[in-house]
Amino acid sequence: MPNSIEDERLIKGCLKNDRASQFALYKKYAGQLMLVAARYANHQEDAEDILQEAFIKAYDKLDSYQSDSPIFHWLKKIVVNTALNKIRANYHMYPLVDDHQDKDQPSGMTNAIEHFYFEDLVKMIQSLPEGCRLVFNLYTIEGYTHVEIAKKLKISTGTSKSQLNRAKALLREMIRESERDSYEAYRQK
Amino acid sequence: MKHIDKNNLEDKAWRNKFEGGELSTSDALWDNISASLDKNELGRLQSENYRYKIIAASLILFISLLAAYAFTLSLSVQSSQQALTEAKKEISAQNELLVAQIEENEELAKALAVSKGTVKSRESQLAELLADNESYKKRLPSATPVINNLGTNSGRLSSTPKASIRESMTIKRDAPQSINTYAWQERPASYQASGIKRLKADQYISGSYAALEKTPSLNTRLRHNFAGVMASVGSFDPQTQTNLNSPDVLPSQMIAASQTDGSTSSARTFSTNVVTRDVEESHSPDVAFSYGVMGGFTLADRLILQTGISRMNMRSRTDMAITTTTRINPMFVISADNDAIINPANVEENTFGLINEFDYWSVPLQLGYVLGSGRLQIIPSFGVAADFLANFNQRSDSGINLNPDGEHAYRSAHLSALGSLSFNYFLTPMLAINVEPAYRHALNPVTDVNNRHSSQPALFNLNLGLRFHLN
Repeated sequence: MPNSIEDERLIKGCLKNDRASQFALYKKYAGQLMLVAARYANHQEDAEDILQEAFIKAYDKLDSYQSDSPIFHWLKKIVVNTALNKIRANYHMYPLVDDHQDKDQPSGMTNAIEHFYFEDLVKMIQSLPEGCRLVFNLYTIEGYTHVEIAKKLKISTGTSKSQLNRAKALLREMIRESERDSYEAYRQK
Repeated sequence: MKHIDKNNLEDKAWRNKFEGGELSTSDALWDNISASLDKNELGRLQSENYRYKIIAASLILFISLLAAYAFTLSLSVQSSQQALTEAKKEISAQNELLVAQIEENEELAKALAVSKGTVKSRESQLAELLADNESYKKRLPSATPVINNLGTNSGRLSSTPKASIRESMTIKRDAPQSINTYAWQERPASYQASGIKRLKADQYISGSYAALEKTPSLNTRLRHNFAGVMASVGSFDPQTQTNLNSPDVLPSQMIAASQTDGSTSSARTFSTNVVTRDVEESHSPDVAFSYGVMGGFTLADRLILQTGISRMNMRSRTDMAITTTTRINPMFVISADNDAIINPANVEENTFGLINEFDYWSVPLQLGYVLGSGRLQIIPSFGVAADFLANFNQRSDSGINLNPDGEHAYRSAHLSALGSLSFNYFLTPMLAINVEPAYRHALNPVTDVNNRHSSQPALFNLNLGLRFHLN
C-alpha cells in the first residue's frame, strides 16, 4: 500500500533534514504512535520517552525506509522495537503456570471491551506485569505468533503462551472489577 | 508473519478498540525531539569537522614526511654534486700534471733529437746539451730582449732551465727535417710505452666527467620538486540560491494581522489589517585575496603532486529590497458609505546592501603534468582542497557589524574542486616566477541544510609566486 502524496512529500522533506517536514510528519502520526507507545509503557512519561527516541531514530534512519509499505507501519515498528529495547533491559520473564486456557473465552468479555474507553483499557494494560504486557501487546494487538515473540524476546514459546494467558486473565479480572465499581457507583446514586 | 485469529472475538475486540485511536502528547515532546535533532545535527557537523581535521592532519603529516624525504634526497644530490666538483678539480689537476709531463717529455725528446744530429753518443749528447744549456744561461740576460722579440714563441720563454732548453730549440729550429723525424723515431721507450698523448688525456678526462655526471640519477627523480610562496587576487562568486525548502522562506511573508471592529454613523464595519513583506535579494561577486606556501613533489617523470596551505580572504555582496505593504481588507461592507474608509494599500520600500566577508584556510592537493622544458614550463593541474572557515563577518555598507555574536549559517569546513594552469619561467636554474590562473568550486553547499540560503561558491583567481626548485 503506497503512501499518500502528502506523506511522500513529507518523507522527501525529512530526508533533506527539513525541520518543517519533520514537524508535519510528527504532527500527523504522533497521536496514533503515542497510543502504541503507551500500551508498552508503565505510564505517560515512559511512553513519551519511547516516542521521542523512536522519532529521533526514524528521522535518522529514514534513508533506509522502503516505500513499499506505508510510513505509519514503519514508524510503528520503530516504536515497538524501541519500547522492547527500553523494557527488555529491565525485566526478567519466567514461565508461569498455565492454569488458564485461552480457549475458554468468557462470554460477554467482547462486549465489555467495546464499552470501555480505550484510554481506560490502556491504563489496564499499563498496570500488567511487564512480561505479560509485552506478550499481550505483541500477540493480541500487533499479531505476532508465539514463535516470533519467543524469538524476539529470547524466551520459550511456552513462556510466551503462559504470559499471554496470564495477561488476559488479569485484564478480564480488571474489566470485571471496573464494571463492578461502576455498578456500585450507579447504585449509590 | 502475523497470526491474527479472526475467530478469537476477544482478541478482535482488543484490536478494534485500538484501531485508529490517538493519545495526546505533551507540548514539550516535539521541543525535546527538535532539540535532540539539533544536537545530532551538531554532532554530525562536529564529526564531519573532526573528519576534515583528521584529513588535514594526515595531509600535513604526509607532506612533512614527503618534504623530509625530498630534503634527504636533495642532501644526497648535493653531496653527489660536491663529490663531482671535487672529482672534477682532481681530474683537472691530474690533467695539468699530465700535460706538463707530456710537454716536458716532448721537449726532452726534441732536445735529444737535436743533440743526436751533432754528437754520436748519448752521454756526449747530453753533456753537450748541458753545456749548451749552461752557455744559454750565461747568455740569457743579454739575450732576453732578443728572445722577447721572437714572435709567437716568446711568451713561453723564461729564465728557468727548461725554458732555456726551449730557447735552444727555437734558435735551432731550422735544423734539417730528417733530424726531427729521426728524433721522433728515437723517442724514449718509456714514453712510447705509456702511449700518452695530449689528445688522449683530454678524451680520458672528458670521459671521466661524463661517467661522474651519470651517477646521480636522483637528479632526474627530483627535477620538478619545488617549494614556493604565492599570493593571488581574484573574483569570489557566492552562487547563493534561496532555499525553497527552508521553513524560513515564504515568497511573500505576512508579518502582522490585526482586526478592527468599529462603527460609523451609517454602518458597522469589520475589517482586517494585513501587513505583508516581500524581500528581494541579489548576490553578486566581489574580490578575493589569498596568500600561502606551496610545495611540489615529483611522482613520476613529469607528474607532480602539489600541496600547501593558504589563507583566503573573500567577499561577496548582497543587495536587499524589502517592500512592506499594509492593507485594510474590509470583510463586511454593509453600506456603500464604507467605501470611504477603504484605504489604498500603503507601500513602503527599503533597500540596503550587505558585505559578507569570509576567511578560509585552504589545504589543496593537486596532480600536475609538466609540459615543456628549458626556461618555460606549463603545468596543467587538477585536484581538491579542504577549506576551513576561520572567520565570517557580515556588515552593512555603512560598516555596522551585523553578526556581533559570531553566529552564522556557514559550515566550518567543506571540500572544493580545483583546476589551474601554471606558467613557470625560470629566472635561474633554481628560481622560477610563477603565474597561475586557477578556478575552484565548492563540491557541496557551504551553508547549513536548513538555512534559507544555499551557497555553493566559485572562485576564479590569478596566483603569482616564486618557486625554488630543489633539484
